[in-house]
Amino acid sequence: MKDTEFMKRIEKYRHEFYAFVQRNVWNQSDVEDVFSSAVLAAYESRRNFRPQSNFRAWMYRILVNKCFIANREKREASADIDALDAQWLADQSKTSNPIIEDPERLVHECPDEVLQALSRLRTIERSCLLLLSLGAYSYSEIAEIVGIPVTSVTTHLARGRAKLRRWLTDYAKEYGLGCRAIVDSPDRSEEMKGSNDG
Amino acid sequence: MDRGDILKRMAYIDGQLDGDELKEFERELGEDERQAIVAEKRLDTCIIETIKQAAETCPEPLWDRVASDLQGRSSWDRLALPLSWLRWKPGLGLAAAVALVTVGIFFGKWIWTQDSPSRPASDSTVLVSPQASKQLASLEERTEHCLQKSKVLLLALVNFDPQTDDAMTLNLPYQRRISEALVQEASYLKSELSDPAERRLQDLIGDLEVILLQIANMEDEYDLEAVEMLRSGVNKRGILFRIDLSQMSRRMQDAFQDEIPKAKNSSQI
Repeated sequence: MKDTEFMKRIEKYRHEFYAFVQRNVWNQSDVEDVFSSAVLAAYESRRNFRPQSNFRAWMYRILVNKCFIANREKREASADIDALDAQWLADQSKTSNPIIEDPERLVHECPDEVLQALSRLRTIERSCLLLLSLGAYSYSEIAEIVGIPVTSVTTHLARGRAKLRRWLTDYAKEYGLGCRAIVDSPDRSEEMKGSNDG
Repeated sequence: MDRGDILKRMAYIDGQLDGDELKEFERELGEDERQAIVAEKRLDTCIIETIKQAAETCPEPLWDRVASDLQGRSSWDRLALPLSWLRWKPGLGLAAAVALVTVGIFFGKWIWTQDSPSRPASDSTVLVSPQASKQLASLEERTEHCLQKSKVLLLALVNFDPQTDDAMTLNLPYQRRISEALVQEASYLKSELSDPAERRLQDLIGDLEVILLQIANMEDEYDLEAVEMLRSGVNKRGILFRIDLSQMSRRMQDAFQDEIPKAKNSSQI
């Protein structure tokens, strides 16, 4: 790819890429460094970019890697994730899901709580969620970007969302924003502990 | 509900189920389950919307820094690539060195004659004389002209290496005269570019005006410290890169404008 072509494309998507890094990196003072180092890394490897492939997805792959490094996390082997989540999802299925009756009111009144909950997820879960919401990618595209199988993507998404729902439900309960059919999962404390360690 | 059901349910919420799978899932859905899914979908939508709304745009100073860095690397790559190639071809390297010396002598002579006191008209009069201004039909053309002139001037400054180049080669008296004229032009353009869509261009012209003013006000033509400060100012603000971007976007607009009539004609045919 020519320099001018690269610069043109980066400039086109820079706000989207910045937003992704900003939401994905734990330490907010690292955001600018991560963004600029990702752009420069992409520039350095621009000759590896195949013209027929998708620039945006290629750039997201670099951004995801940089976020992992910045958050000092590494991707587990997919087999480990599936084994871990098989048990966790099985536990989930034994309980009925809590429902927030007025989610619009909850997020309208406490948007910071949503973002704080998002920041408590593991990098892989958050990356998948952000690629789905900000990037509007399908499961298979996310799998290609993050470099894991599609089944692992669905597992991470399910797990990430379940955590978000749980934390937001707890918050709604505490501040009287109304929930119904709340049944606590038996290993909820374990889950919260695990996520905070991550 | 097993693991597969949970994942299928999520895929349904995300709209990732297709054709038969979707129909089968909806057929087997009970009323309670349907309500729970609607509630989950509402919450998910709210979460996603909150994330989208909280997404900040890339700050301009950060982008300017990154762009400037990219531009620096790009210039270096352009220089480094032919040099690394020449390393492997000693014969060509020698020929290139001879060619460079010849061009250098020619260029040096040209600069010498350009700067001779017997030259009748100053460059500033050539640049912004009324005739020249009239020839430049529109504001766009004047902007383009000013950017191109400034780019050439700044390139000489940026590429100047005090370790290896003689200060004479910069020909600062000549640069100062050009800068004086360009400052006036930049000041005029800044006042004329009032369209909010031109904000980026306005900022660029504003930054350019400051740099040009500094060049115009240089007192000593051998003041290498001042030259170094100017170079770092140009690099820090990514001026050259921003000029390139502005010119590129202009060319793209022009090309697009040219394509429209062609498309119309072909559709008529």
